[in-house]
Amino acid sequence: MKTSIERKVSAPGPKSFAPPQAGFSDHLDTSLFLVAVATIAVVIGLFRTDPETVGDFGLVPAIPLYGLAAFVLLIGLALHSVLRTDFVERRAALTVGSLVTFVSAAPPIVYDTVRFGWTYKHVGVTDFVLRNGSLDRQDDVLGIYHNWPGLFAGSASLVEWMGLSNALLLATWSPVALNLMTLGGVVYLSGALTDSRRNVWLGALVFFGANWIGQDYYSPQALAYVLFLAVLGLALRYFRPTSLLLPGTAVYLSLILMISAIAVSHQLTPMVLFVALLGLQVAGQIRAWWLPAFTALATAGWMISFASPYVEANLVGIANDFGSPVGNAAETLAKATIRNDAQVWVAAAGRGSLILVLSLAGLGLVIRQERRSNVLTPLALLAAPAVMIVMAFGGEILFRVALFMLPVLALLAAETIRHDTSTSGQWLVGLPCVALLFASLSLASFGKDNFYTFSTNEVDVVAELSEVAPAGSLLIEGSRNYPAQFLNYEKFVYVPIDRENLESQQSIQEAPADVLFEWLSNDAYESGFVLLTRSQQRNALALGTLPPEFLPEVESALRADHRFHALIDTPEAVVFERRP
Amino acid sequence: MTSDRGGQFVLASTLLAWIVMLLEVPSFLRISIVLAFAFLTPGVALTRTFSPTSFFERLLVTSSISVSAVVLVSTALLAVGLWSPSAILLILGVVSIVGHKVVSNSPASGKNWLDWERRSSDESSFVHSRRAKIMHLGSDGCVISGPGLAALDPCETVRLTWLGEVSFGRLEEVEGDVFALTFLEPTAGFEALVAQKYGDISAAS
Repeated sequence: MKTSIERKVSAPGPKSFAPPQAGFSDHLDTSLFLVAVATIAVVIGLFRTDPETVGDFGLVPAIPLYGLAAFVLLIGLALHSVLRTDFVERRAALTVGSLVTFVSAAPPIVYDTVRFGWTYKHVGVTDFVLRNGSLDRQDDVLGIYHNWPGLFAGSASLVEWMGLSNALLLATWSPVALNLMTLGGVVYLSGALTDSRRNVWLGALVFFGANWIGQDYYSPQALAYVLFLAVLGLALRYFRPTSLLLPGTAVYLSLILMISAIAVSHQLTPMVLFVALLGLQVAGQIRAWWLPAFTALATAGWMISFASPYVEANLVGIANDFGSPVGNAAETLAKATIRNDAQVWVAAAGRGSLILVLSLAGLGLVIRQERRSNVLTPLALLAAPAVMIVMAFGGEILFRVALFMLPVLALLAAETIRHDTSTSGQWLVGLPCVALLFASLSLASFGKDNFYTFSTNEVDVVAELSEVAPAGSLLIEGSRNYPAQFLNYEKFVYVPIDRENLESQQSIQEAPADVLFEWLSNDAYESGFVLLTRSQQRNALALGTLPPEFLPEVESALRADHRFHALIDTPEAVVFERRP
Repeated sequence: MTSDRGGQFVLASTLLAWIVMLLEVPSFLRISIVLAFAFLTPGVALTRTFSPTSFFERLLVTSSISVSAVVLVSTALLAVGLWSPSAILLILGVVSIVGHKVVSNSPASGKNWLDWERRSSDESSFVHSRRAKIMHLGSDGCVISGPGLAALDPCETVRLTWLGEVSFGRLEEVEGDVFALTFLEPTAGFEALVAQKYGDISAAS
């Protein structure tokens, strides 16, 4: 498939002349003025949002109305920029880029802390590297990260160069950088699949409307995902049979560099990349056997050499999960089970959004088939992540599969939206679709903020405990939903109550002080603590991981019992210690 | 050592990153310079010879390569127990500068670039030589991308020099940041070069 300009050069006969596009400055029109106004209103709105007012439906209802109106305006302007008759790529990039930037920046501006409890353990591994200058590949708490340390090694270097003491600042603002890089990646990959730059940018808009999956945080997979898109984009540009671009030394070096970085950073992404490249090669969409071969070599080489401690220790578990697609898919859905009415809507919004994109993309494939356009490349790219459903991957595999498919699905959806050649027809389909996607995103991506975000007070309490506790301490947690393990994490042995078996939980509920006193009296540990936070309680209420009164009753019992005292006591979090 | 803008950027950003890391300067400045180095420098060193079509795509590829380089060098030193932030910065800087020289001077790189000159105002000569990246090549024309091309008038004729051979080119069409040129009056050497290096695009398509 060649772009129109490639055909122009190769076509025989006289050339037609198209006037050059106007410069960017010629397009400083009303819409750009509105983008500026909207971004200012968004920023003011976000700074004036009180995180205390975030409720069951998450962040969006807590934003002042003018801030929400400004977001709606930004979405409208982004759609307008790709559907208007005088399409200019830089204007589309500016509006879509502004939208992506401020949607990603909303949580750091409002909360000023890192979202998602599991992000903190990534900060913890970077903290380990910063303190020790080495890894612990046999670590039984966060061992998987020590065996695929790419993100942590790289960000530890960044943290040192910046003169910071830990990666919290990096983690807080990572979603903005990662989403902007992902935007570039989606545009780059889509640009290799279609001639139409409008469809590319509309696809990017659809992608971000549908991408509620939440893998844009400080994590190995987010970094690997960006590189995955870049590798596929480069491969499809330089190694397609019809490509006239010449892959020089720098292209080969760049691909080797990026594939190697993926292989040392994440477990799943190189496998998807390998299958995607192999699929493209087998389907005749690229001519570069060395690409899937090198990906396989780098992936397997890392697994059997550096990551061998983890692979050997977990081989049986991996083998058991492998090849059980139905069970793995069911595990993803079971993990999403919820008890709170608001969370029913949040889950439904995410699933509805995916169904909409899948439907539009299905139509897009039919349209491509009718137009005799290339369907093999998109099909090969869609099939690659689908085969990964044979892996369990912590009960998240369905969402990961959806994420890897999403760039291609979004482009096909965009082609469906722009199937009608009239601008009014495109608005008629595009407006409701994009509105539905971003409405779903507001729920699916930010609807869990009530319990997946943390106050600076909670972060400070955990930091203080991590400083004062001796190595080899026992830490009993209400749940893992708090800023966990981001500092000196290896000092503790962790026991989250909500992951204990039912019998154990019942015994705590019947006599909290007696049971926890007994646990803390275990001589195997240097010291022992019980950590209870408001975010743990909010999580228990929303997801039903513990009975509603469980954690408040434990806290009351420990406060009333003379055998315990509150080592750190704040409105947001309390740390109990056994009296000697 | 570094006569082009890409090389100058690589050298300057490496030195700046080193200086801000060694000195206690305001953290916002330090963070900005370090981020610019980590997200751009190693990538600029390589993408000089194969920059993709649009600015945004170029930025993505450049930052992806840069981040990969930071990750790989840091991981390698960590894996062998020699992790040291200053050593990593030094290695990245040196590798970027050397890498830039290597890919800029490689034969494959030369094939991808041509020089173009605009006619002077009195039309007596061709002046102001600029380099442009060859994106696509055909028997009767090519698609190029590079600085200064946007200032050309429609149908303007420029003189092209590619691997020492000369032709003239007329601006035919633009698409984003790339420009299509039709070859006019190519020398025999130029035609032979096109056929020898890349074949006939019409036959290929």
